[in-house]
Amino acid sequence: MKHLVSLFFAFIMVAPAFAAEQNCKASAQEPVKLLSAELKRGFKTFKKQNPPVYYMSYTYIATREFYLSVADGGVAARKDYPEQDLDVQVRVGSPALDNTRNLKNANNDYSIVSGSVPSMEESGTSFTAAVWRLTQRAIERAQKDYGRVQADVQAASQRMDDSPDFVLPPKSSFCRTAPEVSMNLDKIEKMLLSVSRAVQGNAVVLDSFFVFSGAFGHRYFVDSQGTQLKTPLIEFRLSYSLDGKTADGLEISRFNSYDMLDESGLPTEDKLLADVKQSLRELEELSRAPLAEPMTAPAILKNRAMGVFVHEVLGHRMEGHRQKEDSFGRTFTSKIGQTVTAPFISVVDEAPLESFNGIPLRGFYEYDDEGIKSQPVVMIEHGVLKNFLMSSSPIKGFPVSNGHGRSGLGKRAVARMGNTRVIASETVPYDELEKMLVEEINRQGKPYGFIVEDLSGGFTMTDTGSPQVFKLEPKYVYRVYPDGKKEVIRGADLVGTPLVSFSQILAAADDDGIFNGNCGAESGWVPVSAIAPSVLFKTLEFEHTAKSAVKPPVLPPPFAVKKGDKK
Amino acid sequence: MRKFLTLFCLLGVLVPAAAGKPSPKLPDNIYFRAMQDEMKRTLQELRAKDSPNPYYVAYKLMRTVYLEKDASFGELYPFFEAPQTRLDVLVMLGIGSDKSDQLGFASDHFYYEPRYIKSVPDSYEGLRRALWERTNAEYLAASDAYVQKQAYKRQKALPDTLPDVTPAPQAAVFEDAEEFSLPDMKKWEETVKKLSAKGKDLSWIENFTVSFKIEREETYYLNSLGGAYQIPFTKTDLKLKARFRNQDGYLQEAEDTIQLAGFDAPDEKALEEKTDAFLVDAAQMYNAYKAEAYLGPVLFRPAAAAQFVQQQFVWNVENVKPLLSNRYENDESAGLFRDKKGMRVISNVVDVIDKPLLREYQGKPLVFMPVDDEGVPSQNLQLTSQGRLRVLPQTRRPLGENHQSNGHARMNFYTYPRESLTNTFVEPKMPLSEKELEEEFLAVCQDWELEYCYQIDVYEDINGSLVNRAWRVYAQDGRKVPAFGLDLRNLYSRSLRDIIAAGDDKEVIYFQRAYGLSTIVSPSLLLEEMEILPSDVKPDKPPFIDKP
Repeated sequence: MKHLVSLFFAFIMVAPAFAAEQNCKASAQEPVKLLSAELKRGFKTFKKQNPPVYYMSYTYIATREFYLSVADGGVAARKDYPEQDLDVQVRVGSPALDNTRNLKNANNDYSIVSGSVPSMEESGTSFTAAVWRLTQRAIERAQKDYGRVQADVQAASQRMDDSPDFVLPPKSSFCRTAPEVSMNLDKIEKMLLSVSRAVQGNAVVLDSFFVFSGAFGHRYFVDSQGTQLKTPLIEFRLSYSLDGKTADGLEISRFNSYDMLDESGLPTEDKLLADVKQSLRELEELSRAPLAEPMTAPAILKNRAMGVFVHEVLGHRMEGHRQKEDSFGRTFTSKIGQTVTAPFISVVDEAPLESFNGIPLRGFYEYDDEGIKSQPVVMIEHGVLKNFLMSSSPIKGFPVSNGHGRSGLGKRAVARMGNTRVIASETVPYDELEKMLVEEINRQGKPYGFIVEDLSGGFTMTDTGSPQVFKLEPKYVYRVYPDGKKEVIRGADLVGTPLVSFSQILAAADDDGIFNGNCGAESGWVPVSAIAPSVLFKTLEFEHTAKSAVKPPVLPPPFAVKKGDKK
Repeated sequence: MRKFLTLFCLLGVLVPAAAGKPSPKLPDNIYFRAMQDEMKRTLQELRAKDSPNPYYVAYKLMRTVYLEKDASFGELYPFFEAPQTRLDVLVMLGIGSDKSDQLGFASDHFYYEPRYIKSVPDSYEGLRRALWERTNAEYLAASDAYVQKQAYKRQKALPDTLPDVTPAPQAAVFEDAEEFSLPDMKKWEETVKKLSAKGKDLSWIENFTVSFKIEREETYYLNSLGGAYQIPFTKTDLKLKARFRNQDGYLQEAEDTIQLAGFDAPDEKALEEKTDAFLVDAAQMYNAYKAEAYLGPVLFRPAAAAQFVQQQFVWNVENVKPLLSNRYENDESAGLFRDKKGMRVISNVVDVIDKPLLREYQGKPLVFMPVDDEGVPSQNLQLTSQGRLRVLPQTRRPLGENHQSNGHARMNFYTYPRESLTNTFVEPKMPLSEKELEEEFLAVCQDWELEYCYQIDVYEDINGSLVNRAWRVYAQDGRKVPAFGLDLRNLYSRSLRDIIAAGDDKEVIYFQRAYGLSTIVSPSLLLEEMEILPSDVKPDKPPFIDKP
């Protein structure tokens, strides 16, 4: 642990940035005052109900939301509006057995009572009445769920891990108000309209979109333990996607995004245009590229692709609740203290990290959705499995949360990733890593290897009803031949099993890259980031990508210029 | 604002499939330019090996502008400050020829719908791309349906005596669709806050919301035969909604919609009076008694009468040409009165007339449809007289002996053009005043030797059968006691023949249908006999703590 901590400090000196200190008093914030008062007013009575409420929390999110969607020189949608939502989390029964326990004999529902609430501009009466209505619904719902849990416990087989359903969180207080961020949507619209026209004449682009979206505001949290929090909520993203389809039905696409905390993070029009033109060239290249063949071979996952790989293949299996429930595969549950990957690889989730190399990290948060302060969690230290990401649902050997209980609006929190980071203690320059790839291809006598340049996402199966496999969807892949020649290919999906894949790491480069994205799971969509260097694998398995059964459009797009046409 | 600029009709132009098409002078805007240009390319160039060519193309663009202000107990809910606009695109193709095409066939009747995209970029280029993309998708789907339909017809040995589509005159109507100016929204914000605050001090009301809503839809339609229209439609209303647990613990909602004329500043005094009256009604609902099993006369007030007419009449005279299907041979979506022309389907106390050419009634906007979604001029339809079904809505797809469209094809995201209504008027032959109708109601109730009879104000929802706004009206003295929890599941189209009287209190009630908005303008209706059951809904838990 010490070793890894010092390793972080080395990085902190040059790159990462952590959030600022608190600058206000939580108890003086109007939403905190109203929510705390309403909670206090009812909690004594709620505790006396049958079954009793033993814990509850309110999460109030007040933001200004922005959304601008542009294509083909026109605006498809433009929104700039306030949002005020309240999530009510209620636990009835006792920490040992409560309404949130996963049912063994029925489907589980992670939704909680949530709703839009009126403003508190004048007296706050209307706001408080809305809180009261939602609380009533939440308790009724929790009591009904508790009845189902009790019935399920009677009929269900013995649990492998009989840890309690909840550990009461410590009382906390934190308050940080972020300076107001405003976005000039007119300026952004003008830029996107202009850039969107650059793709119009291209016959390969069947569809495109340019989107600016984001939110600025604050999140307020109070609970029956006395916790009172106010934290900023800031995320802005500009992204574009260019989509096409080849004659054999394979869908091809290029996607790019820019994350920022304020307007200064926007790309310039020239930069955006240059990136779009590069993406167009890549899409054209993909449209002409040969189709991949199923193959196992040495491969490099470039930094961002490696970030996605770690998130999907390892990260989800490090989530605490997946070690607890019998319905999950529990690939790593009994591997604490064992070597699971190369000794120069460490993996940590640094949710408190706000930015890296000047780029904001979407997975940053100060307190999790259960009111627990976020902490860096070392999951793998020098190849050895050390820890899991924990919410307030304890598991054997891990009795408390480490600040990773996360959820989307209207969902109950479970353990989730924030900023998942791969740290290599031994690195080489990237060019050297490519040379090592060619050597490995020749050593294994393979006809070629792969470089996965871009990996947009994928899925991983973690329930016991399915094989413990992953399938990732690379969007831009090169074949690398024994003589070092590179060729773009299309239609290659990356598949495998986690234990085998992670044992195949041979080397890493010194080129940390960031993947910013959104992750969907049972507790909803949460923003996440992954930071990783490029990594050479001894072998990875590639298979055919699913193709669409529908043929490409009969006519070319309206303004497409075919080769040889006059513009 | 709603000035009628151009009426451009091409009546009597019969158009063979491949003949030169009449081209009306279209308004100069990006919508018609994009539709015209992409339509030309589709007809000239959209060809695929082994698939018949398109012989008919229709495009419909809908631009909606929407703004809402909601308040609860005197405070505003967060919502868009500026109007939200959205442009949606819908494409339909006919492939083959009008003698034999792919339309009128579906492997599943409930998915007989054209290809559409919502939220299209509001630019000529964006529209062209959206039209192209959906036209391609529609062509592939049409090719598939064409092959399936031909195979089905061969398998069932269906004769080709009638063409799939008959010729019909085409028309073009263009109304001014210029941007409209919003009312003073700050003023409306203050109004909804003020009205909603009236519920704040009523301890039994858990929530009271007041919502002001403006909806504007501009529709642009063009087909390859020259049929076209550009029609804006604007509706503004104020919705009042109270939520409470009644004295027996049942969670209930009282709701009322006040249709507003135009965008005028709020007439606060009138709205306050209506809000006060609504809250008095809601208070009576709070004290309501649960319904018991009942058989006897029922008086439907206009809103409930419109819902009754919608479910038992309108649904049965629409979609009257059943779809062919190789999966479900009985078309469950087809109206049951399709073979009942000349038969008695409703009491002769009322006539039913559909009026697509009427713009408004009692100051409330109606669905104005001078041209239908096959480009055919719409006609008013005298659907019933003397209780007998006289005519059915008709599209260009021949129905029995009727081959001529009467301009009642409507199309939207969830349906290709099918036989549809617009503004259905229930016209009493001898309308009774409120007093006369109540006397008649009590007299019938006494004839039945009942202690009380039911008056129903409104159904819970359009498709629901549960009624929570009703009254027991006592036969002896006409006293009214509120009731709730009436289950009308045993209501059938046969009940249309039980109408024995109608009032003079017609109201416009709006319904959102698969093909778009429709209205029913109905007075109160007195039914001689109806069966009512108590609903099985159980009471809810009382609040754990009092309202703050």
